[in-house]
Parts: sequence; structure tokens; C-alpha cells
Amino acid sequence: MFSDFIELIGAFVLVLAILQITSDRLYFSIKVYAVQSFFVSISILSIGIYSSSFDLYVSSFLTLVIKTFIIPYALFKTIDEMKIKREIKAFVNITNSLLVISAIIIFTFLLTRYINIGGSVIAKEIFPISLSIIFIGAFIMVSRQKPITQLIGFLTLENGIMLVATSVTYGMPLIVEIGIFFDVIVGATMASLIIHHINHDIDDMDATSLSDFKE
Amino acid sequence: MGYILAIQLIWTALVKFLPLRVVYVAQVFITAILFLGSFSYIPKVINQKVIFQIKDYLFLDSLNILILTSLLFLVFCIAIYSIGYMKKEQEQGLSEEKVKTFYMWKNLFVFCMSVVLVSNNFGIAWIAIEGTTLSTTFLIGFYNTKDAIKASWQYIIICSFGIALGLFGVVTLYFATYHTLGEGMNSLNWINIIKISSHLDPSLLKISFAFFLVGFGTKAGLAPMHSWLPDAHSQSPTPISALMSGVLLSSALYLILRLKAIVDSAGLVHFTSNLLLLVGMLSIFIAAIAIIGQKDYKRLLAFSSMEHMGLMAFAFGIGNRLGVFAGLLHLINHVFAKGLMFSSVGSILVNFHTREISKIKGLYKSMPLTAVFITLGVLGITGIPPFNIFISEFLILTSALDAHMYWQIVVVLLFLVMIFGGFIYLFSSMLMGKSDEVKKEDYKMLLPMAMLLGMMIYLGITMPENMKILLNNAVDILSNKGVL
Repeated sequence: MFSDFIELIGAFVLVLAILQITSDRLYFSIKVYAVQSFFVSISILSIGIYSSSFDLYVSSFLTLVIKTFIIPYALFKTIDEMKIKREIKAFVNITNSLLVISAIIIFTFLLTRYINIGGSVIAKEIFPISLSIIFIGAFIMVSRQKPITQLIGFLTLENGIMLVATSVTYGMPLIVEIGIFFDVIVGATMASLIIHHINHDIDDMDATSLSDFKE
Repeated sequence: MGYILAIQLIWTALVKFLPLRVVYVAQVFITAILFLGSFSYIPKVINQKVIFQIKDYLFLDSLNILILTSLLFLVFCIAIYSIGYMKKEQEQGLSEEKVKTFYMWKNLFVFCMSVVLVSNNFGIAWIAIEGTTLSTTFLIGFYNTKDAIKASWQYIIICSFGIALGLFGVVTLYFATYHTLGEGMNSLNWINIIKISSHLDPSLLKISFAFFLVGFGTKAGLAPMHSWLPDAHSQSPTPISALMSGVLLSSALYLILRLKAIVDSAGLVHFTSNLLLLVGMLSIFIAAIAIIGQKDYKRLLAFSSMEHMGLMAFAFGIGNRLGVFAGLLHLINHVFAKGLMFSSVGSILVNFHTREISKIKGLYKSMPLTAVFITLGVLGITGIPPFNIFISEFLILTSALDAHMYWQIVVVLLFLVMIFGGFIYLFSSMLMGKSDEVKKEDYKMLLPMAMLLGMMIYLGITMPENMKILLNNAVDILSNKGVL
């Protein structure tokens, strides 16, 4: 019963990741990310209540504060300052992206069919769900042109990892979780700093221009 | 080893508040202390096999003491070198504040690498690896040029992506171990996992290893995810390029090796070995192609690092004892060789301010001593005797011969010859020819080169007894015989 509930929340997170693929506006993408993080924090909180574990309360609270409020706020501020509200440019259009990610989801469920997580598993299906979210995040990173959407792809991926780390079992050791938060927040700050720099120094913010000095 | 980390952390915090003159000198002394400190652990490690500190979060065994000591030796050489390098940069108008920032990030970077090496816990090691990414991002964008910022963006996005995949590998490993070892930090401790490794679920371990290889392989500069490497190496200040190439890549590979030991003893030797062989050969192939037509000498060296990482992955993938031994030896040899190469070309960069090979001619006329070091370094890194790289490359190919991998040997040798040709051709065009300018060579930049060259020749001619014992023990550790 409880595992169904957690898996339902996990499914919401997955649906929001798919919604992220279909979004073609930056504001909308950031909002989707915030709601997704909110669901991740609910999932962590309910497992915390179920297992009455203090660690999970802490990480649920941190997810809520950092990922639902601080990071989206910082991203909104960045795009306001840079005055980019143009639509998201993608190398792969939305229809094809949806086809690709449906293939990804089927693949992850096939991949994890035979794995055997021993011990006290809460919600086994979270494992393939999170793996799909991770691959979707990766797909967003490679299929979008603008640095800021690549950043959103990375944050989606991080949400997938957060979900799998906390919700399949009773959760990773707290210190690792804190490490994850630390990295996400510092990484996001640095990335927005660099995006800022790129915008100031370089006229076009396209990833296509980033690849012109490869080999 | 707790104090080694503590000194580094305190020093990182202090750098910003001291006058630059003091920082220059103190950096040399502190890195010397760190190196001697780690060196002094060697007899202890040989006696006790493994030392724990701070409960069992930190540990030193034969495998990581070797890498840690060579890391700290390179850091010491680079500390001397940085004085000369940064003074030249200051003459070009770099502000004091900026130099101090450089030292702060550099020390943080070295601290994170040391934590990766001595940490017994995959979780902490992961956090530290991410720490290396964050601390080097600003170093790559240090000169604030358009290309530098692009390179640092590329670096942070590709490496964070890789590291995130690595984290998924850690999480999967936790799922495989937590019901035997219990919840909490215990289940990620390497020493605990290796003891029960034969009881773990193979399919989870497979997923975990695949993610480790791609994730930490990104930081190690292995093939499919290497694209950050050339830009990051060519844009960052040269002392940082040397550290990144010499030890950052190796410490990421070190984590993969630790997991490989676990996965191997769960009976998946073929799986891990074949993956490493594939990735290794692909890396050597891409590096060989890129080196031939290279126009920028720092990128050339970056691809050479990729080649050597590929060679190490190949060696560990061979799977016999000699292969692992040769791989580890190559890892250590590469630290000195790449340190020498980067520091010598760094001298060209600060004097001529161009990274283009075609714009530099007649180094024997303009910078004779540096040119000698470059010549010897090129010969060393491409695997000519009597230098150390020759020994380890020879051992790698011998062990492949033992394992009857004939076509692989032919392919690898072909690539190595291509790389050798590329190196000789490109560097001779820089060394030979006429030049009117005569540049002043700074002994502070020549001394570390001489030290690194000395190590290369020393290890090429003989191998110290202690090092042999440590290497043999490390091979035992990696093949899961006599861990404790």
C-alpha cells in the first residue's frame, strides 16, 4: 500500500520530466523543475514519516528549500537579467524527443527487470523510474542548445538521482545526501555565474557556437 | 594522514590573507612537508599493510600511498614552478589578488584530490571528486578570455554530468551492499564491501560498474566522454594543466579500479576487463588521430594524457597480474612525465604568449635549456629507453602477449607509433629553426623540470625495493588476494 503511494509519487516525477521535454519556454521549464523537486521532497518526507528517520526529514526539508525555492528563484533572476525569454532551441524537435524518451523508458524497465535489491525494499519500481528520469535529463542536456536549458537538464538528472537515493530503501547516509545538496547548490551558482559571463562576453548564447573550437 | 589533509585545508583558507611574497615561499615549504609526510608513511604501510584513521573513514594501503606520494611530489615541483610562472605573468600585468585566487583554488583542488585518494568511503570520495570539478572550474576560466569561459562552461557541464552518473553508480552499489552491511556509512566503506563482495548481486554490480566507468571515466578522460579534456587543459594556467593531467585523471581512474576489485571478486572479471579494454583502445585511437594534426601544443599534450589513460585502462583490462602491475607502474610514471612536459611547454607559453605550434621556431636558440628538457621529455613520454615510460609500456605489451591478445597488441602499437611520429614531427618543428630572440630562463622553472626528469630517468633505470613491494601488494589488493 505504502509502496504504491511512493511509486505514484515517483510516477509524477517522471511525468514532470516528460513535461520538461515538451516545454518550449524557459519560464515554464523552470516552473516544471520546481514542481518536480516539490514531489521529490514529498516522497522523501513520506518515507521519513513511515520509517521515522530524522535524516530523511532533513533531506526532505533541504530539497524543499534549495530545489523548490532557491534554485528556481536564482534561475528566474538570471534569465530576467539576461533578458532571454526566447523559446528554447532544440536539436531534436518535440515529437521526436517524445519518441526517444518513450524508448528510453521501455529500455530502463527492461534493464532493471532482473535486478535483485535484497533487504527491506520500500518501492522497487522507483529504481527504473529514476533511471528513466536520469536518462531523460541526459537527453535534455544533449538535445538542447542553450546553456540554461542544459543546466535544467542537469538539475532534472540530479532529481532522478535524489529520488533513487532516498526512496528505494531507507535512504543513503546523510553525509552523502548533504554532499549532493552542496554540489547542486554550488554547481548551480557557478553555472549561472558562467552563463552570465558567456552572455556578457559572447553575443550569442548558443551551444552550437561552443562546439566550433573542437578539434 | 589526517594531518596531511588538515594542513592543506588550513593553508587553503589562509592564502588569501597573506602577502604574496610569503605565499610563494610558504607554498614550497608546506608542499615539501606534505610530500615528506606522505613519504614517511611508506615503511609503516609496508609493515601494517593498511592504516586507518578517523575511525575508518581514511585509510592508506599500498595502492593509494603510491599515488598519493607521487601526487604530492608533483605538487611540490609545481609549487616551485608556479613562483617562476606567476612572476612572469605578473610582469605581463596579472594582479596580485588574482595570483592569490589562483593559489587558493589550486590548494583546494589538491586537497580534494588527496581526499579522493585516502578516503575509504565511496560517498566521501564522490563528494571530493565533485569538489575537484568545482575548484578547477574557476581555474580553467582564470584568464577570463572568451575561449577560457567557453572551456570552463564545457568543463563544468560535461563533468557534472559525468559525476552525476558516477553518483548513480554509488547509489546502486549501496543497494547491493546495504542489506548485508546495514544502513549508513558502513555500507559504502571499501574495506567492508571487499570482504563480502562475493555475496553481492551481480546484476546490480554490473549496472554500478557501467555507471562508474562512464561517470568517473569522464573525469579520467576516457574515450566517449573525453571532450572537455583538450579545451580545459589548453585554457587553464599551466601549473593546473600539469596537476589535472598528472593526477586528477589518475585519481578518477583509481576509483574505477577500487570498484573493479569488488566487481571482479563477485565473478564478473570478463565483464569489467572487456569494458576497460574497449574504452582503453578507443581512447588511444581517438588520441592518436587527434595528435597527428594538432595545431596547439597544450591540446597536443592533453590528447597525450588521454592516450596514456587509455593505455592504463588497456593494461588493467588485460586481467593478468603483470597487466595490473604494469598499469599501476604506468600510472606513476605518467605523473612525472606529464609534469615535465607541461612545465616545459608552460615556459614557452609565458615567454611567447601563443599556443600555436606553427608560430614557434628555433627554441634551441631562444631558450636552450628549456629546449633540452622538452627534447628529453618528448623522448620520454613517447616511450624511448632509458626513460620510465618505456619500461611500463613494454610491460603492458608483454602482459598482453602473455594473455594472447595479438591483434590488440598490433593495433595499440600502431597507434603508439602514430603518436610517436606526431610528437617528433610537431616538436621538432618548434625546436629547430632560426630565432633572433633570446629569452631569459628562470631557474625556478628549470629546477622542477630537472627534478621530474631525474625521477623519470631514475625510475627508468632502476626500481626502489620499497616501490616494488608496494606495487606487488597493490596488485594483490586489486586482484583481491590478501587485502588485510
